[in-house]
Amino acid sequence: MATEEESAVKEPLDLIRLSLDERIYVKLRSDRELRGKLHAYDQHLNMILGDVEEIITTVEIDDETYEEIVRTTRRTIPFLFVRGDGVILVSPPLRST
Amino acid sequence: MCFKCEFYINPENDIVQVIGSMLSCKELVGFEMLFVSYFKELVGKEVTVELKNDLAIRSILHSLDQYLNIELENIGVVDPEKYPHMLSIRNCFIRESVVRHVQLPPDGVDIDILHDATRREARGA
Repeated sequence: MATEEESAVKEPLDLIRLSLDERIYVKLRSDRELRGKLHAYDQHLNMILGDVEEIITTVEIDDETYEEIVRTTRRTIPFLFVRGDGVILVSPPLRST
Repeated sequence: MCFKCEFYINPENDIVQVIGSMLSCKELVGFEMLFVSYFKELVGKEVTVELKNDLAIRSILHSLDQYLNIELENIGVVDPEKYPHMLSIRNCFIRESVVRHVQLPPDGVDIDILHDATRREARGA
């Protein structure tokens, strides 16, 4: 009975609860993406992630050709607190990866 | 006020004060204090606070309040050439809403305690 209650998904945040201690994907405002292990979260989607890879996408316009140059910057952070107001979406771990 | 972990909010200045360890206290179910208690345990340790305007400050965490406003002492800006006007500032108070993320010391708090506290918070909320 207790396990049934633990695994039931009744509201969206339950999906995130089931991702505890799993690697998740988080999309943030200002073209930032995070991949990391979810260690803690609350109802604001403040989160603590471990072994995080952050991907920052920037678009620059070439001065002469006016072409868009898309750059991605990657960095890894061992342990990170993320403020919930910047979160756009949270995706649970993919079964295939 | 919880008598087990001796946590309370001082009515005069709204500052959360803890005497025992709050993260492992079971009386705090649904108290929405998970991250406040987590950061309280990191006071005195070095953190890197990254703001929404890309300014990153590395410093010792001095104190925080119930909203996660942060007070830092002896700050060091990660990219001082880009932000020369920050060089003269030693101590600062950061409003919670401008924080993007905080890089934490990996040895700060036991992961299992953190997971338990999160599940308790999820049940209470």
